[in-house]
Amino acid sequence: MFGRSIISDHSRIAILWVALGVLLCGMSAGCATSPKTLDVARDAFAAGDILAAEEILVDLSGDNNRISAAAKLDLAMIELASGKPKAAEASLRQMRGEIDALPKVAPIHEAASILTDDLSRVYRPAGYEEVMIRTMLAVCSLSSDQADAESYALQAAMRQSELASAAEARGLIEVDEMFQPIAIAPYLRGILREATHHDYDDAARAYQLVSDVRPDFAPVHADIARASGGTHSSPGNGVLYVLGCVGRGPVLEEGVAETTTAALSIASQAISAMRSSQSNDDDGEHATALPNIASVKVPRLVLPPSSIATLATVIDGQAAGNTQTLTDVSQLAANQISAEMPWTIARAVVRRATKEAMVAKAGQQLGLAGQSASIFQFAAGTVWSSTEKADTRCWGMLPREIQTQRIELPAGTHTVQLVPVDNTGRPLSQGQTRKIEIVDGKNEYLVAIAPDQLVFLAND
Amino acid sequence: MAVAALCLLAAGCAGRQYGHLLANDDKDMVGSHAAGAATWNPLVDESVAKLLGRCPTAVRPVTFDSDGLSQNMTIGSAVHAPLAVGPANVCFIGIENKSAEEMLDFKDQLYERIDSQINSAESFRVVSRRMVDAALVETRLRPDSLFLPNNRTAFANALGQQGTPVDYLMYATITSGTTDRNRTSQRDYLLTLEMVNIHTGDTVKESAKIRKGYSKSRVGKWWNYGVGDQADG
Repeated sequence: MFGRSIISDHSRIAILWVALGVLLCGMSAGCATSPKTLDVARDAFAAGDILAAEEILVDLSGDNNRISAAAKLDLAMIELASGKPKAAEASLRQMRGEIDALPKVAPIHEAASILTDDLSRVYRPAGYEEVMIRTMLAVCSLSSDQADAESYALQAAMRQSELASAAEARGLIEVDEMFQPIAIAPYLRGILREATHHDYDDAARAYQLVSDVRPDFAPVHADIARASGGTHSSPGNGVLYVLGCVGRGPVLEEGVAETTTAALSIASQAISAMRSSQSNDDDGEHATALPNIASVKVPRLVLPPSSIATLATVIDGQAAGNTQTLTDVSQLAANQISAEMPWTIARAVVRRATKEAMVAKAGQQLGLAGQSASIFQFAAGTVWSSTEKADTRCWGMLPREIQTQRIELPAGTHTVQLVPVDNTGRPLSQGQTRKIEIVDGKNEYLVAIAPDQLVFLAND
Repeated sequence: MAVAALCLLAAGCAGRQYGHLLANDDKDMVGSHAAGAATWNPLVDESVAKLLGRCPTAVRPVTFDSDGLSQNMTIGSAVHAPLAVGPANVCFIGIENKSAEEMLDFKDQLYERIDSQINSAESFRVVSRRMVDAALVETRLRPDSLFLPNNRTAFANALGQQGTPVDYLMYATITSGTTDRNRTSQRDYLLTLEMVNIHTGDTVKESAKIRKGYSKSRVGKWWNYGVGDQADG
């Protein structure tokens, strides 16, 4: 008797879903300024205004919103650039723990993402960002007491292997190319093992891996030769490693991608799974169909402009060469985005298909038919889908490149100046000068953050 | 339902994790892709036991002169100014990994395990690793170059000057041999311990081996080594 009302329970639910979807989309559109605020912080950092960047990021990371995790990662880079490596290490360690503890899928957020967009999903850093968290932890440790640097370098290497295995299991194509090891991780392991003076075999393996990944990193050939048959340094000498985080790293912006065959195939499989599930509790009349969609909104990689090309090193007033690129973070990001793109598009297609099915069902239950039903479906579906946004959350304060330089120096005190130069070799500023103490047979590390024309030293 | 579809498309991640303590009699876990505790621990135990079983009991007086290294440090010989009487000093140089696998965090643990087991034998006393490292830094000698008599002497002198006379140098080497057969492979792990008497140049060498099979499926073990017995071709 109660089920005989004019609008049935099913139709009430369908209409409620559509209404809720439009409402959530409105809320989502209202939050669209947040990524811009992250951009403001990143621009301030690149311009050298660390305090302004820190203020914004502290605000953003304080709220438990959908960009707070990205803001916390950026804040750790600010702490490192401010000469507080211990604080940066603590922040990154906390983020590593939080990210590792994320559930495999969060059903509530996934459900919300059907009604809105990928921004409703829990922020999960890209694979290369997860490796970079561990790598930057190692860099933080090298900037301070070096106590856990080797553990972090090991964790970075292990995480890389896990990601490659997971990608292979998911059937991602060209796994070896897309998830190739990040050279900085084995390189750090190599320099740390070499400094033990007894684990040259480990160092040689690590350097060999670096060479395989980045054969154009010229210094690694000397590293391999030294680890295979030489010694860490000549008697009476120590080694200075300059680790430079150079340039502005890649960020994501919203773009449009055509629906590819691969993406439609994945979406089709997902929708088939939905249909088989629907057939158990429905008559299949309103089964979700693969819609005819030409393009969807997706994240697009953008490299903010920065004029710095490398860091020139001056030791005790004498030019001592410059840092060389070991890891191209922008390339890692491009590879990751490219590998994930079919899944990103497929999610958008499934979301669109689900929305269209729900709008159709709502229209039918409202008693609409013929042209009025088509107009309702078109209008509601367009409004609902047009508010979708691509997920552009990322760790935007990573450098464009990680560069290194190895300099063997006599034991004692030396004055080291790091000067940012552009790709014509022109100095962009005076850079930073620091006195360092070289110990016989030991490594010393100087970590520089140089997003553009200014250089910040991380060492405390 | 749609949630389920989106979950299918979601990239996986580690999720929650739990830990528990193992009792002493719990089995070591067998690594699925590389040697693990179940491989390394018995290899160390067996090779060290074999080595200690073959080495002579070397309780002898120890001394060193102002130049650092004693002139009277041959095993069992008399000395003119003994400072201490005790077991032979063993300098464990390190582990060289020549296997097909990266040992990651296991290498340092194996060093400590071997070091502790040698140290627990009555007839030997292991030189502190920090002393060994300091001598390597001072001499800038590579561990693999200490096989040469001149380098060995220079290294022993450096340790002697630190007040740590040495009787034996010990090296550990890990090697592996891999046999592939379609989707299954066998890897043999060999841990070799080599002890060189620094005074006489005599060498004692012992090793232990563990063979391990890797398969893409659980039935691979039974197919090759169980009821299928296909391993021999």
